[in-house]
Amino acid sequence: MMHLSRRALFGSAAAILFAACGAPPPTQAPKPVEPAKAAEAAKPAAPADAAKPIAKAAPTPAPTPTLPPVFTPVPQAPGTTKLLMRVHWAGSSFNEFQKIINDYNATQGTKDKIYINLERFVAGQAGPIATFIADFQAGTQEDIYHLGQNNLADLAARNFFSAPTMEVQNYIKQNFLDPAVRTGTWEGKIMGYPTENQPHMLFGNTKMFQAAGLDANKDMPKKWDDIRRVAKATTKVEGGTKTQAGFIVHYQNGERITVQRLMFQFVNGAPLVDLSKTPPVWDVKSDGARAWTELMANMYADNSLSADLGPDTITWPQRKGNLISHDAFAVWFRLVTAGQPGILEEQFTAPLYSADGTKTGNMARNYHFLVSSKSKEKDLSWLHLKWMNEGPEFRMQNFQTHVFGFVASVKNYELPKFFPAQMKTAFQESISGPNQTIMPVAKGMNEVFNIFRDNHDALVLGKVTAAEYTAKVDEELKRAMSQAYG
Amino acid sequence: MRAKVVSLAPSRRRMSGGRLLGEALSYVFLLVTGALMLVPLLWMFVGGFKEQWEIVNVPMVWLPAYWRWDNFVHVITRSPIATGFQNSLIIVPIVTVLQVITSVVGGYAFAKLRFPGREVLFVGVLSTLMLPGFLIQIPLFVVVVQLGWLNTYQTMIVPFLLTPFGIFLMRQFISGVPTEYLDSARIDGSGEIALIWRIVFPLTKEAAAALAIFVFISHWNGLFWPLLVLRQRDMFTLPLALFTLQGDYGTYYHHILAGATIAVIPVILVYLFFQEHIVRGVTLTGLKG
Amino acid sequence: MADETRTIRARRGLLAPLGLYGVAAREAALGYAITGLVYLFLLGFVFAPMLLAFYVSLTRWDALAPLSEAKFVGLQNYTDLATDNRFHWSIVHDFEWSVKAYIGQIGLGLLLAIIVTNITRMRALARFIAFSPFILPIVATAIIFTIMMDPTWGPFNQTLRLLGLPTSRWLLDPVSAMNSAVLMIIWKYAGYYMVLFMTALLAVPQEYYDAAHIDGAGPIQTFLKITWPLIRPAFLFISVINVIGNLQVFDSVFIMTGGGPSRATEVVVLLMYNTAFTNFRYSVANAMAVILFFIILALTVFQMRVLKSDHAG
Repeated sequence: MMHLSRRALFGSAAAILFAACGAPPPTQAPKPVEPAKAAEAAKPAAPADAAKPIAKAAPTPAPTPTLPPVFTPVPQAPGTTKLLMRVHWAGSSFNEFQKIINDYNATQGTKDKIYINLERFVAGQAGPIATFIADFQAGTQEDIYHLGQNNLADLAARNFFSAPTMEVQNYIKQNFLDPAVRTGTWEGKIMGYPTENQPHMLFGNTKMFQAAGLDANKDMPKKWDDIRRVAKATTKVEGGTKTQAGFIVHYQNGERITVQRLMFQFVNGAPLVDLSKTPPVWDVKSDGARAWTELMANMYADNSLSADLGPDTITWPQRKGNLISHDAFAVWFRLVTAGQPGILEEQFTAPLYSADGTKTGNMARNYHFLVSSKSKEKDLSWLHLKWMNEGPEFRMQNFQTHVFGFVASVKNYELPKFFPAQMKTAFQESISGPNQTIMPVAKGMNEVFNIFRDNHDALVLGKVTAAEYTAKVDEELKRAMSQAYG
Repeated sequence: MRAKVVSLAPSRRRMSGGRLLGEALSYVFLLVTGALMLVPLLWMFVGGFKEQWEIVNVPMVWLPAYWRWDNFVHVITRSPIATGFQNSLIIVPIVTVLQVITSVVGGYAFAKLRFPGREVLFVGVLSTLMLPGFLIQIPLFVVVVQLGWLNTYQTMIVPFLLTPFGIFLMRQFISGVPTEYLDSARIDGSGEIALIWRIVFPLTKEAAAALAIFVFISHWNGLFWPLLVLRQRDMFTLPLALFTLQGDYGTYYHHILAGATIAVIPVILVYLFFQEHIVRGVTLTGLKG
Repeated sequence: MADETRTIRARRGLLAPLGLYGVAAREAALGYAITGLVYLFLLGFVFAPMLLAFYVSLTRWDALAPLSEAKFVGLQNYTDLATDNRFHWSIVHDFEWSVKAYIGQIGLGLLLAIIVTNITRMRALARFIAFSPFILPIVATAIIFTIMMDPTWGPFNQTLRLLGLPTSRWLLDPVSAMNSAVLMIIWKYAGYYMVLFMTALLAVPQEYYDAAHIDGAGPIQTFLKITWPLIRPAFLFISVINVIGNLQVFDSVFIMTGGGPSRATEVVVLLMYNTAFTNFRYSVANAMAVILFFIILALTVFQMRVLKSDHAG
């Protein structure tokens, strides 16, 4: 009877396979690949990849590329306390940041007696909360967090973070852009250093304007009727299929959809949310708010929207659409790294205006460095963050600007070097204007994003009318707020 | 009463015309289905060798112009895949062996041992399958933390010593074994434990092998639990490493596909290995029921 | 003779009150011992967490604060869910998914198993190929299919275009998203079910088929009168496992669609996950889990009634 053999089979199979794979484990090394967008959900449906022109000619065999050097962490110096910092970046962004951390550990760190251990989130941007909770319960959470403000309110309300000293808070207030500071403020306390800024502009493709007999310099739309008109004029339908959409919609990403609506409503004098009340009151029903919904519905009716061509992460870089409103980071992540050649120079940048074309403004939303309330080394954490975020070097802010293409959050902010001249001017004028809003710091934002995403996706595919959208979103938002604050 | 031998080879009989047509149609159907099954897998294998643009190009690029082994090199050297591989290779076979043993023993108890209350107790075991896995896992995580088992091998093994799924499976298959065979062994003086060892295990080889394969594969591919309890990269198992790869590389499909290919190789080998064993072996069905 | 010696040496009955003596007592003792060990394990690793989950569903807890601070609210989570339209729809989607997946996986699996056990050549090869989708990690499978289903450059649509057939928007359109995702899961598991069915089919003694053939029975009659009764216990198992698994689907939907577009594929466990981990309403998610548990329990009992085998073990 072969009854023993099964056990032996397992054992020997395991042994053989184990032996066969003798590669030694790699050292804890970050991954040096081209950057993938930091704030993107790690959803495969949104390729932010380097797509070459379609129908490339027969390719010549590419030489094996030399991989860029990997910045392995420097070893911990004796006498230093180890702090854990986690970020969500990928590829060469992480690699470049590791370089900065290495610098710190080798120089200032030895003076501060701090060693920073840099790690990456495991769960990715789409959902770190589960692991945050797990870590928090287990006491294995990082000392220093780098987070956007979406979850700030929910986490801060649950005593997840520990605010810095008044001295640090005052420094932040004095040296950083006011909107960028407000996105990190909870119950009057400034919770951490803003690491970058993401203002929002309207982009158009000058070549597509030309092809439609227009001139971007003169015809870049201000009034919403003009947006509709230009979108219609720059939509191309060939043989029954749409090949170019006049207006690129954000699709399947709740955060971007909400940001876009926030901006449009803000400049139109109908702010999306009123934070002075508890729970906050969202407005999609006022005339100013409904004007945006109707704009989308009308553009759908004109067949000018891009939803059926795929997500904006492809339609924009692949020249499938013309107008789009987006944050600053999109320039690097969509156009420079993933876009077809030349697309950056074709962009014309302009601010958003109210429906009547008279008022304009901009917004801020940020990431912050924050310290865990359960950290055993809070003072040391803030000591390190001082080096990382304070002037004159403003290391983190400069890093974000020149590696990611964000706009810096310090008062004398810099714009990314690769922005074309017209783009720089447009951003500069818009950010320095008096009319600035922020992404709300409120609880339940994730649910808000989901609500806007699901309903907006239906709207831009023509599955619901503007009136249906308004009624549904209003009801769902009320419910979400009562659940988050109740 | 003779033991009956049923092998994978069917009995030899002259085939009628109708049967031949049936055979032919079967082959055609299998060919089409087989092709459909294989295409995504092959696409994944080949994709691991392509450059990114070759994957997303219109029109389709079937084969890469240049077979990029460096995708694999890149993934192995620059990502946690290699350590993940090793960790999985330690943990998963252990779990598989343990689960097969406990499932056969447990399944046998519920199928053949007679004791009052057996059916109710069995339903109790079965009911545990119905609670969504991940919601047990959060409180379980808290338990594991109290035990200080976070980030260790035992936390990947001990909670999986036993599986109601396996017990259920073995119970169903063992209940098809005629009881007289066992009783006659008892009369011959066999102790209960020896009974299990000498008779039950060999009789259930086919089902136990199938269970082993399922357990191996589902544990090889398990993601959520390691995500919760493994907090450091050098302890990651392979699917977790693959998941971080996807996060790290965003949408660099050529690397993701290369990583997925690497992740699949041992499972294919295990399956191939077991196929050999099953085909080579003979299934004893015992007496006519 | 051996019998009598046995009876004399039989241990004085621990189980005598149950009416068990001698050999029967030994058998039962072992049965209880094994069951006891199983339950001990389950107590620690399943029942205790399960009870905890039940308890949490009666509180308001966000999983961040210590559990001792969770506020007891009785059945409020359940009454909230009773009026929660989104939760109701998630159950509908769950059923839609499960029915389609059941038919596809079990139907195709059984069909393949019957065919493969009846062909004369290449059985092992056929089995290997059909099973191969199962071995891929779900992350990889979901990613691969999402890529392949891209409406513009994905191989599926490109092939359809080449053949002159109409293309689909697959995962990006609310109408086709559910079917596209189910297609993936059927592809992945048909081979798995085929192997399960084959194991059951191969245990049917060949002589039954021979006898039926001699008696002139056609294939359908053979199946109904011989195959089906003998594989019923196995079919029950397979059916129950399938329903339990499909009602709890999460990974595939999470990676492929995230519940969209426009909630077309939002199934219960996905909604649970979002409720717990993006909305910080962990205890409400637990209440959802409890409700789902009872649904699954009811369906399992139903299946066991309908598919109950005639001989007891």
